[in-house]
Amino acid sequence: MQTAMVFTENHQRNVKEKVEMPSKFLKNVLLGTLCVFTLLLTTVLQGCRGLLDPTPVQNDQVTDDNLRANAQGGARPLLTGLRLTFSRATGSLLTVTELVSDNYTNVTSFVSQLLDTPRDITGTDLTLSLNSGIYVRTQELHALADFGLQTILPNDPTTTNLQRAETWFYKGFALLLLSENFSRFPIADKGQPISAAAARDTAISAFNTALALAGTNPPTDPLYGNVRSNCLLALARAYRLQGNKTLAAQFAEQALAFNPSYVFFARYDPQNLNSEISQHVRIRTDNNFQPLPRLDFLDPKLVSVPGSDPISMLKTEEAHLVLAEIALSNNDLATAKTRMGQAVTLARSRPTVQFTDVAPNENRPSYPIGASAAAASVRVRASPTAPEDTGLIRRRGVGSSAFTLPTVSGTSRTVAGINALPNDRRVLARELYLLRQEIFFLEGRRMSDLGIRLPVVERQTQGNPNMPFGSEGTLVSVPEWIPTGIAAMNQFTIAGSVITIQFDMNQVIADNIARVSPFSGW
Amino acid sequence: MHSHFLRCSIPYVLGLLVCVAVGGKALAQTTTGEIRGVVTDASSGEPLVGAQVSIADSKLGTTTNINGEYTLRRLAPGEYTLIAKYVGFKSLSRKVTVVAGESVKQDFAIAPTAVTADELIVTGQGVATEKRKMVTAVEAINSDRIANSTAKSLDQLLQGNVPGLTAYLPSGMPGTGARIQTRGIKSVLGATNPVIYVDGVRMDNGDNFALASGRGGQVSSALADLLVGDNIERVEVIKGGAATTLYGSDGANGVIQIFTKKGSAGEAKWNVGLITGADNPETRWTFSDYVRNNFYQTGLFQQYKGGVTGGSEALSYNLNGQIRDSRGIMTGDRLIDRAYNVSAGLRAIASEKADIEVSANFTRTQFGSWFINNAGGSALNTIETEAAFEESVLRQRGFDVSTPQRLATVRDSLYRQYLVLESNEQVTRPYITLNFNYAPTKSFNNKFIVGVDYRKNEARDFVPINSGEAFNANGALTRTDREFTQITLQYTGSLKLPDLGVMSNQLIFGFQGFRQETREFFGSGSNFALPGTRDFDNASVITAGEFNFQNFTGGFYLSDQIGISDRLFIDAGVRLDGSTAFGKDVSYLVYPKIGVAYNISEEEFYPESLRPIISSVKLRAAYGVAGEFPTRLGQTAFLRDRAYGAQPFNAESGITFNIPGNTNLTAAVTGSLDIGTDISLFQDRVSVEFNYYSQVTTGSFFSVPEDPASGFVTQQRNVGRLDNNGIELSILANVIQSPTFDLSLRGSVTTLSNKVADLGGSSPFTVGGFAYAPTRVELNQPVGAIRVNVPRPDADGVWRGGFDQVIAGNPTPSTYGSFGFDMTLFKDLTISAMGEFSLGHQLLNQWRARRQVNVAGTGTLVNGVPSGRRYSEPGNGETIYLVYQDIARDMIRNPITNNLLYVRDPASTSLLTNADWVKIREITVRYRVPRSLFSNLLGGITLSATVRNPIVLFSPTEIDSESQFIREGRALNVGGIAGGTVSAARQFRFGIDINL
Repeated sequence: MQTAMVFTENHQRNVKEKVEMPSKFLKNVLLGTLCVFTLLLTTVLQGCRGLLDPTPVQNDQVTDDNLRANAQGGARPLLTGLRLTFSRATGSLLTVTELVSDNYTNVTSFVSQLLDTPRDITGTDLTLSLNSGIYVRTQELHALADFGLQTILPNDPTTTNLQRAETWFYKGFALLLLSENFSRFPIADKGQPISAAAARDTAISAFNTALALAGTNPPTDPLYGNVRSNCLLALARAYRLQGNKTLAAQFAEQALAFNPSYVFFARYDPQNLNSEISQHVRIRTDNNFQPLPRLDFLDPKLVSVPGSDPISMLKTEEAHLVLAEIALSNNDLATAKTRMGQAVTLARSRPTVQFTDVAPNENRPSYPIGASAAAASVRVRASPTAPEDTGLIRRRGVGSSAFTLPTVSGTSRTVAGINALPNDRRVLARELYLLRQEIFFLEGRRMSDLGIRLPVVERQTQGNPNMPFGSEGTLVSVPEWIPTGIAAMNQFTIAGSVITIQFDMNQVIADNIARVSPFSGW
Repeated sequence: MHSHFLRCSIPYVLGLLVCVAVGGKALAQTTTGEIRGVVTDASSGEPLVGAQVSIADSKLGTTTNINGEYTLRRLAPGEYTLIAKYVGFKSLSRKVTVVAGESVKQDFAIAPTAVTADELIVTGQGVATEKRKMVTAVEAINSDRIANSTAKSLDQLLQGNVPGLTAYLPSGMPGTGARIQTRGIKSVLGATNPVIYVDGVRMDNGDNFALASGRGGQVSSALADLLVGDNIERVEVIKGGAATTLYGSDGANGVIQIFTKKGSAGEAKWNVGLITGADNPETRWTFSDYVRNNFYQTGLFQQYKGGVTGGSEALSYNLNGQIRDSRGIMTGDRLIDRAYNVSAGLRAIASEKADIEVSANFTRTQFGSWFINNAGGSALNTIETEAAFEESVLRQRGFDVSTPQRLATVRDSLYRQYLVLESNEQVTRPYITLNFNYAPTKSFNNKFIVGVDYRKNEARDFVPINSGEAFNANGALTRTDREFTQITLQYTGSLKLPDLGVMSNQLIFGFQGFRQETREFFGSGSNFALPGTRDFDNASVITAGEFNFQNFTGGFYLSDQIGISDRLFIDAGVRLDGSTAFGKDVSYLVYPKIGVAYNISEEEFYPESLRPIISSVKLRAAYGVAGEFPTRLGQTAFLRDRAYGAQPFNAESGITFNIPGNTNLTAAVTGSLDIGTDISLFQDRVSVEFNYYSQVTTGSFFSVPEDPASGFVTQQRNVGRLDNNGIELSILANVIQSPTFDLSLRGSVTTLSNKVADLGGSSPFTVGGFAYAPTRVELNQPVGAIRVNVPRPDADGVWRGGFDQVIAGNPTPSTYGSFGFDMTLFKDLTISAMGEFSLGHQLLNQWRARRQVNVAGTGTLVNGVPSGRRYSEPGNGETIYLVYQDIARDMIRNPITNNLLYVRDPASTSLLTNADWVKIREITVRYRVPRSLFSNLLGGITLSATVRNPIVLFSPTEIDSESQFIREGRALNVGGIAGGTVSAARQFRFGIDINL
């Protein structure tokens, strides 16, 4: 009991316990348990590697370290990433620019209704500023291309020149799209904003680099096209914007010589790109996009459900039209007519489908007319003073039958019709831009042709101190020849079976051709 | 590696076993005496059942039996201090001398009190501390209130029972857990749920798992299967602030500790319970009569439970089991809610110096789920907002709805197509806790805790093929598994230093470590060709994904509690916390705290004349710092590192940008100041608790938008400052106390002012909502302030679609609280009621937004009758609105087409709704059958009748403003947006509890 007495003396006075203490053995067991527990704790605390360290955690993301450690073969996912980002960018390009232009009106849909009145567009616009919107996606494409060029491709020893070429091409194309649709923007994280012209010139050098890398006869990918043709057409387009007649003509000729009927498509993967706002154009379910009646025969162009058609982004019709424009600016009317005729011929040779539009959800004012058997006899006047054109309205709705719908290029003009036009430069300028409107329908070109430039999105002004709100590029730029009024460019009236469009924008362009066309000499 | 582990653990396990086995024999058996007596209510003389009688500074103790009697046996002769305690009563201590071979009688008559100063609180101090010494406010829910409550899980139990804490249910679907908030939103990252411990082991408190996607926002929650029942002894809640410093990271949201019963010495007491009832749906917000009559049902409820508790002086136990089943409030028993639960609590006294407590719990729940809100295939959506079952719309589609019978037939057959969905979930959740207490001397106490919480949640949504128009005809199957494991290891030690004159000193120190592992797998299959399948194998398109997350958080703490003259207490402490939440390297943070509590009424200078009115006053103030690591963010735990994603495209995988990375990322830190007082009035009949709190969070996490030119979208940054402050006032009053009638009233009110005080150089940005009505982080506005578009007419006064953007709504209530009463008649019949209110907030009615969209449909003439949603004559004729006319009336004409203008976007102010609500949560009647009626054969019978969610006193008419369940991705639900969901049901319960 000696041990017990020692124990009890240490207790407080008012509890004089003489409880028999547990045996020594038990005490030792208890102490031993305490020791073991402390041991466990200390090994945990010291983070001693091995069994009892609770701290190891694993990052399952793909980090910079992973990419550096496994650089081989990195070019392939990079290209896939570029292609899918490109498709996303072009998809949103379509929805916005087609509505802003006179091609389409947003009657009632989830997409911003302010797009129909360009001067009302701001950087906070609901559709514009989406993370899947055109500005963000195009910048993403450019940033990914730069990342590939600076980090992935140099570290991948298996990279081919063709892969490099395609990366440069996408870099250039992103800059080209930005320069066509926005007026001023940065192209690096927190970088200084540059003008659209500077971006376009950077695009040109990117295309030239790509062209050199692609070689004289690169293979054609069945889905993603031919890099050389792409670069040639892109250069023709970009040099046109620069106003460089010589080089624009040169590359247009080269493109036609290399492959006269080439089309470059932005591909779509219905399983993986189904959350883009381009759905509104592709999938005609609950939204209502009304085409300009004069263009009704081209609508909807992207016909498949659930919307997996590719979008043509570059095609050789453009080469013809660029050459036509150059000729016109040089007052060479005969060449212009020839070139325009070639564009028409090529456009009419493109694939078509037989399309039946029986969905009753289309809410378009021309629909009641189009719904009747008399659709074929509806006439359209491009302006209150223009003559009536026939054959532009297709019958739709319950009871309608299939009609021929172009899916790549379509036009209402004919070679004979063009040749019969008077030798008036202004008339031919109107015809040229009408052809551009029809052939590039639903490809995101018209808004840029009209001269309208969108503002950068709210996130750009807030994310980059070099571009505060109010500075150039952050406000929409609408030239004075765009008519004022709510959705003015989309206005039309119906009287009997005649639809009269209020403003013939192609005529407006022709009247202002010197300021609209990038070429000089008008 | 295995052998090392075994070698380490064998002595430990053996040691524990030996302790348990030998412990029983540790006390001498021959020369001992005993103490026995009766504990009664001093005001009425009634014996108190289950009162605690314990020996001071010892682990020995017991509880009174059905007659109020207690016995403490086998005590060595000597003087002991006995303390008698009972909930709602003032503790009493007496000195007793034990003589060998004799039995000493010591009775206790204890007086009821509203004041709980003697209550022992564990939370916040590390060791049991009397409430009168606490420097911060702490709330406790005792086993009485738990036993009387029909709450199924912890979050429902908290409703209305903890002043200052809100636990609002986002929906009435089974498996849903409440959003628990205390003192506002401190960060926009992760949930606001407090940390939850059971017997010192941390529990899974997460919700909003991957399962939510595609279901329209319906989420299941780990809180829903944290069942409460007869196994819970008490729940302690600390609302964040100074007291949570000892809990380190994530303590900023508050701490909830659950302590389970371990039984007490005495003969085995059996108890059996049977509860039956019904769940009746709340359809006051249902728009469509068809939904009200055909979607809902009143489901039957049944619950069976049983338990036994008892023990010897060395070992006591408490075992419980229950089975509960509700058929649910949706037709066809599609929202069943079933739970099986067994729990055990054991306490083994190894000696008077050491004891071991073990609790184990196994829960299995199975419940049904359904698509809600705007999920594809949600019947609620289609019928309530798309007018799909309106007569005119069906007629436009070509159905014959010419007679009411035909209309009903068409509707029924279409509706049946929506019911083919199968949506089920199952949760398996065992947890085990082990507490080992060892006090080698009276002044040195050690507690070791180890435990595991494991939760496996499996969910499955299945649409068979050829399901009609409601779903994809090709069928779809989605399965998600979430596995969560959390291991807790903890040590707390307390050392009472010798007194220095009037100054007492106690040091508390310890260590905590938690390791959390989460694994989620999800897979979906679509395009099944053949009927009858339920496996992915038979799908043509199979996609899968996974998410893994591991985290370790650990910390040390040291705290000193100084008492001066046993009236003034000063508490100072510090915690060092580390976590791997940002990456492999553990980041460390230091959290200090200091507080003071002054029981001023115990001073000599306290005027005696005041004492009858103000019996005791305690003033307290505390300041502490707690932090938050991003441990619960959906996908991106490793936020410092730049990361890329892979996206499939045309059968290849492409690289995309994902996380920009932020090497400066650190924890968000909340500093809390609490000042308050606890006052008891009128001789402890009324207790008042008042707090002023101010919590400033710096470096709180936000997803800050990146420069688009970088290619990235957002990055988590420590941005700015959030302020939350307000007052909490709660009152408990025993208004009437007489032998035949007792009435006590309670109420609490809390005010909250939440504000983004500083944006830290970042621009304002959106945290949730929709493009047309986002919830924003803006300077000097509450977090999640709602920005709406207000129409702006043109100069000529005609509105053509122009709008101004205005911050107009606050999603967080500025005033909220609870109220209730408890009434006892003739000691046997108790009636109680409890309600809650929430005022001063707004929300966006997204359900109405959907109707605004769908009123703008098409229309045609069918047999000369305008049909569809909206019909207009061709050629700019007048428009007739065939559905939702009250919404259509608000629409504006589009001057181009002479049709209505799409108003949801430019006039989203029409969706802003006042969200104030007042609800009665529970009304209970309990009757304890007099024992004379069954002549003492049984220990006792109690009958009870309860209604939960009986009455909504005040609420917006179109939508259940308590729900607010719509989130942005998997991040914090700021609230502020409500859509179409199933509201909490009215639950009727009738029960019999028998003590054998």
